[in-house]
Amino acid sequence: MLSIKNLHAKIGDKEILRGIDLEIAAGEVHAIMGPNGSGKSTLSYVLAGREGYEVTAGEATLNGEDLLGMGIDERAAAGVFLAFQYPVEIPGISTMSFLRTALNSVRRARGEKEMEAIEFLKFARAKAAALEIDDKMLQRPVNVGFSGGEKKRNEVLQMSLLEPKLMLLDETDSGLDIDALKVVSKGVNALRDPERAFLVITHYQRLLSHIVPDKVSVLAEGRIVATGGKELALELEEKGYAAVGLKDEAAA
Amino acid sequence: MTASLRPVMTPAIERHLSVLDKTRDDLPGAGQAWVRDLRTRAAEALARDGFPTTRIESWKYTDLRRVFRNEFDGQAQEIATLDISEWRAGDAGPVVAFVDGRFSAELSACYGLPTGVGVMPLSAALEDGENGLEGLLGSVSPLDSPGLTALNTALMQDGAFIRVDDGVELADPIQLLCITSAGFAGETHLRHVVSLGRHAKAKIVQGHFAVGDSSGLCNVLTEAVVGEGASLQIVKRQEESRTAWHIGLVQARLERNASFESFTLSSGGRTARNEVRVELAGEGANAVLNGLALARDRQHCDNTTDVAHAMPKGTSHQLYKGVVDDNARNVFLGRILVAKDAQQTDARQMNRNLLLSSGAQADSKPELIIHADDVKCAHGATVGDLDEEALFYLMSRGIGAEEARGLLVRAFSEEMIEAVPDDAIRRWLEKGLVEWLVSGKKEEKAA
Repeated sequence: MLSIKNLHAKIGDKEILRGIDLEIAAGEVHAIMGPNGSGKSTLSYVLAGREGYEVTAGEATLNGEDLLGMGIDERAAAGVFLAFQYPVEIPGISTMSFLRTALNSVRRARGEKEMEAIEFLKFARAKAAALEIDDKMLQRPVNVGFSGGEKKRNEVLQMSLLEPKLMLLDETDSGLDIDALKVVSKGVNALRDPERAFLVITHYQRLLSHIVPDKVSVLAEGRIVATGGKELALELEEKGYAAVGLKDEAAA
Repeated sequence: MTASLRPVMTPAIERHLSVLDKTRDDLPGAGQAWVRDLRTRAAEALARDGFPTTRIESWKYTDLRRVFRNEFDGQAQEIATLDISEWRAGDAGPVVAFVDGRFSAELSACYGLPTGVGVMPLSAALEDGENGLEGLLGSVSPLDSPGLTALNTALMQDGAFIRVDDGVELADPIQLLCITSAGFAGETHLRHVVSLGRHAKAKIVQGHFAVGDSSGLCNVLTEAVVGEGASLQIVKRQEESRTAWHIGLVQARLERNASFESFTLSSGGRTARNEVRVELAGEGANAVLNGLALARDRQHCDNTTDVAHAMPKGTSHQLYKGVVDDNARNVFLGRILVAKDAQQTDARQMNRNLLLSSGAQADSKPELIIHADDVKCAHGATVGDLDEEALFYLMSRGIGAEEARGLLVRAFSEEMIEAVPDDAIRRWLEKGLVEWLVSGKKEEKAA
């Protein structure tokens, strides 16, 4: 589904990605681990189309379509979804109206019928209830005053509404206590599907015991240096990045 | 305050003085000695002080010479039938309508007022000697503030005179709708006079709308006395034609424990000035001054505030925002004066500007003068463009660039409007905002 070949990207003069090769098949959950500054978040940003990153070589395709040539919103319509590490607070826009605008934008782009307000309300409420998100939260401005857990649940809610094909989870576990982590993981797992792929970026094994990956890759200095099954994450947790031949980062 | 500035007898002043000479006997109140006398003294003040120049702090960024080099020679039209429902702030509350500065009985609907509330056109009130207007008019807006107050007082044609007796609370807004006819090129001097008795409550909406393009000048002054424990809200929506000139002043004096709230939504006029002056004359008075300026094209919008804390334990909160596009310019000048006796004052002021294009400009200037030692005063200003992070977030959810930008502009503005508690007034303001946003899209498409 996702095919990345020899991807190079830089911010300003600084090269962050130095030749990434990665294939994620439909139905697969692929975890990316790696030390701070290895380029994990950059990879997700480059795939989502964030400005400020310059792709200098390589390609990334989603089901054969060139992702890198698309605008940010076009990628979303094509099925890319980035769950933010730090979801952005937007005062003045209610969560409900944001969700509806997003859904209808995506539906329009996919040639589907837009959803009327009342139909949408029902649809969104049902999805929200599964994530233990109440109506009050939906009335509040987007992410404003939300706890860490509420913000991440809101990300998963958006994911479940927009029905993407490729989900990029950028350190979804950061800022979550164990209960929130369970709710969020449950929500993500409910979206696992033979037609969907996940790229899960994380520092810790903790998340991967809730969202169990099919494959684990280690990113270091802008390249993938090791790939294995889910047991690789356990090994890294135990031995640190020395397990894959990297100089151990004591705190990582 | 202008003693150091030498008055200049400009052609504009001479022209206005001669207008007064010619029309003195036709202006409302000509039969009342006190009105004639007031107009004469106002003319003298104008001749003596002239119009404020940019050397005066509160006019630093708005040059009246640009306004008064026009002669504003034009006749008011009479419009007997016009659907003004789209400009009303809800169906409830009396409507006092003006066309080109003159009261229109046909367009007004001023019935069903509760006992203890009086609303009448100023033109009628000036003619009638027994209504308490004498001594009230000019008491909050005296002739010693330079230029435009004197001009307004000398030539005032009409407006609304509103009185709310002690203890009377009015639920629905009194709606003052000032409409400019298409092609109007003249000058209007509207004067609204408001008096709230002790513990009275009232809301006034003041709308300035245009039927079509016009090139005249609207000089509107609202003066209000807010009695002890009384509460007054004045909400203004200024949508004059983009080729017209607008100069407005809302001036209030607050007695002990009185509350005053103003909201100014300004999107019209080629040059628009919306000034709010409040004197917290009694202990424990409370003022909230909010404003939203929307400017594009080559518009110049000036919001100037002057809050004077004269007595202890007063609070004043100001939040002004500006959205500036194209080559427009937005000005905020906020003055806070805390007198020696005004201990335990809490005065805050914030100005935020969103610049949407490289040609847009925002000037923000606070002026704090504090003579008391036990006070809380805070001010701040920000100027920036749209939050890139928020834009990326919205677009990453599939929302197109143009729509995402529109949402963020709306959110920036909406934040203020959604805090307005009255449903009808909030919807009225929202309508003004949405129309501005939509008209911008249309202009872009046309261009």
